[in-house]
Amino acid sequence: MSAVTVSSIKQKLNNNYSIIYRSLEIHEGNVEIIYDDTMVNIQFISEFVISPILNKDKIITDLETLEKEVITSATIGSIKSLDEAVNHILSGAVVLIFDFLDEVIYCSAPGYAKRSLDIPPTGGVFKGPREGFNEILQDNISAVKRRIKDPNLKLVSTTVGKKSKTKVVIAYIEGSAPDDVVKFITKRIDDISMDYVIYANIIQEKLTVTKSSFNTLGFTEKPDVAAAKLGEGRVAIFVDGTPLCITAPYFFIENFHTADDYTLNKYVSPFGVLLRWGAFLSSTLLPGIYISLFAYHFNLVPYILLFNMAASRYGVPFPLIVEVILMLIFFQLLREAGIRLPQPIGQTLSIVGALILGDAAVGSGFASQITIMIVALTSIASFLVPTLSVSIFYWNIIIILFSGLLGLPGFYIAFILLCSHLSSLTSCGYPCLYPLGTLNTFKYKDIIFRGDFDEISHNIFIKDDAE
Amino acid sequence: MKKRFICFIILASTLILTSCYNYKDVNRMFFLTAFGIDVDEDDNVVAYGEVFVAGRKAGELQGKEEAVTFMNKGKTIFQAIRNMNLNSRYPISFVMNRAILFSEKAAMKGMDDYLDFLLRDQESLIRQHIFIACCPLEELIKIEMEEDKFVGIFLNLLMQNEKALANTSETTFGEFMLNKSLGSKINVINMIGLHQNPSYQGIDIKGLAVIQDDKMVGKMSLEEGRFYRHFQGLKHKGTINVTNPEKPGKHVILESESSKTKGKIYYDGKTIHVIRTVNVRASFAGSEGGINLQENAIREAIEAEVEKIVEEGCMELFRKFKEQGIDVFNLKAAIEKKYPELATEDFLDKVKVKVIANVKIDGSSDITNYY
Repeated sequence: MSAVTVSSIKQKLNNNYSIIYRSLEIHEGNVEIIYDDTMVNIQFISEFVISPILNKDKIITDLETLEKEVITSATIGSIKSLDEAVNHILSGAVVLIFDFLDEVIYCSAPGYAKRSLDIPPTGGVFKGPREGFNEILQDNISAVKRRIKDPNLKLVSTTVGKKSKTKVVIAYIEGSAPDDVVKFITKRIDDISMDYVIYANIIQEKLTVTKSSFNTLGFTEKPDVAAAKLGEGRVAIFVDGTPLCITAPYFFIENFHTADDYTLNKYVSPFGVLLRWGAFLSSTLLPGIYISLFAYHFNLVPYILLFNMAASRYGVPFPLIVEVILMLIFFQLLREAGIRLPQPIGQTLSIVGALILGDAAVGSGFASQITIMIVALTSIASFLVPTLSVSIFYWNIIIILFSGLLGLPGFYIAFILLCSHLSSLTSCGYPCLYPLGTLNTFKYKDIIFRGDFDEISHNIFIKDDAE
Repeated sequence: MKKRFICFIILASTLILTSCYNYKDVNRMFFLTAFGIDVDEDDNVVAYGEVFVAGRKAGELQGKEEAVTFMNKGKTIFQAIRNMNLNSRYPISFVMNRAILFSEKAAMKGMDDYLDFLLRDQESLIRQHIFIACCPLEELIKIEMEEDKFVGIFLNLLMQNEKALANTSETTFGEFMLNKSLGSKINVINMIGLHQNPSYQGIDIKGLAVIQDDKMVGKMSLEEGRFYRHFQGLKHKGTINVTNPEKPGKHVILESESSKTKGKIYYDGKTIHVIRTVNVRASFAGSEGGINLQENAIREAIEAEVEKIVEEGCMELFRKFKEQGIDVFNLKAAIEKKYPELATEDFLDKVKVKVIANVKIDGSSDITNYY
């Protein structure tokens, strides 16, 4: 007899209201049907599992007859151990125990509430596809496979989390994705020894080599972007329960690219890329330059601006550096409140907060108009590159402190520190700052000016011929 | 550990850089826009500073700018400047200074006692313009102009007005310091004074002052300033009035568009010949009483008259200052380069100047006749 019995399952899954034990009496003997009420499709079980057993016109003598001639469910398999049986029940399958057969089988009948593939909140486009991932792994994989019908697209499944048993799929195109990247990712994921893996970020952190506020792995909520990345030779990692997929290797310049760069006119898209680069540089460096010039190097400032600044700051009680840091923190408070509150209230709060705070801060003599303008420009510019906005804030503070201490030399030191930090980052062994800060050259030509699609649509990890 | 130590040393080394610990809040400083130097009867240096002061009243979103004049005396310029701070609530900074003004008295006494400090001081700039005031300096610096609150800023902008520079000098402090070490150590700088009109308070460029070896030794009218610019090859965009060849007693007005001067020096054993070829391109601006420009003879007559005016004007200017023993065109600097042995104290006696003017008139429109 099998080690899997109703009593052993009941013992293992005690105090669990949603586990349903249904007993059927048929001519051959008893059939125990066990499933999790919250994870299965009841109608499916009634129609394709219970009904065929009750209304069969043949005698069940062995497993083969049962599988081939009685149960009409598509996914069916045998169970060897108690753990396996429990795992199937908790994963949305129904387990069948026959007292007249030695075998225990399961039929997959998942059924739970899920979101449709809605427009994702990030990565909005003017012209491209709007479909986004949801939290169901199968749906996400399906959305990508619809776009790549290549037999070389490999989808390696693994389970992480000793207790959560979260399903993770590593997707790559064989022959296109670098083997060392696939091995690196597979090993790092296999090494995860946590009990619960609920979020994709856990895997993202395990794959990160250098600790940094800058992402060294990409993520996307859009299947078209994931498919394009796979086509370029990257590896995509899907985690069950997470509406995004991680992509690796990831280059810093990808922060400045959007899906629209490939859906709009090729002469239009570089403007957006340049705008985002400009926004990143200005939002990172502007407060530092502002402090350096207005606290140390007055003679580099046009006199009209300097006099306006002096008039604007008249009566402000704080030193410039304190004023700027305080206003940056206020803007971060508004940003955080805008994200956490429900969307309609969040938007209102952002607008009203910014207006009132800015106006009141100037009116009360707490801050000067020019500082408000600099901080607003810094914050707005950082939103053009949303994946970097928090990192920009951190580096703003570092650059401000150095600039406030040493003036322009301090600003240059902080800027060099930022560049050094960025050049030290790697993504699965690849230099993150590519093509800057490395002598490696790949066929990745899509830096700022996009070439024709037949020039850029290839595996980017092939070493450049010119090397 | 070694890496951290090197990082620490690099960071620590930045502390010796210029800007360290010089943190200043922009609203806790007074910015000087014009700096005046005068001398009193006891030979004390009197320093005047026109200063930008921001003030803000309750309820105002932005402070208002005001020009405040600080004045104090001292035995030296440095002492006078320090004393000027005695009645200032914030330190006075020179980094935004736009103009250095010398009183005529101080300029005639000698400017060398003040220039060294202005050159050495770290806050002082070399791009500011330098002027001589031909009226009481205190009145000039305290003037309440309708055009601009700040005398320094007004003068700075005035020096960027191309049309105002036609007959004047645009010498900056840096150029002044350079010229004072070349050849005859001559500088020609603007003289400014109060506008003589009861309905309008303002500042005018009255003429030019000739400075030799840091002392004011002569004056030039604005008309002479035009010939000075022609001779020196300085950009000239001004008007030239000549007699209308068709209508005696009336004038023809030309506008000088560009003026390029080529120079040649040679020594024949007795005389140093200095030849200047002044090429002037002028456009026809207008005429009094009408003119027929299609006539070559008329155009040539106008050109010939302009050439004569330029040649005679330059020669006269040279002669006027030569008689006073002043090398107004600083020819010594050019002669020193080619014939160092001839650049003696009495070199002017051996110099013969010849000016050749070539004037070309272009039409400013397609109107060739006007009656």
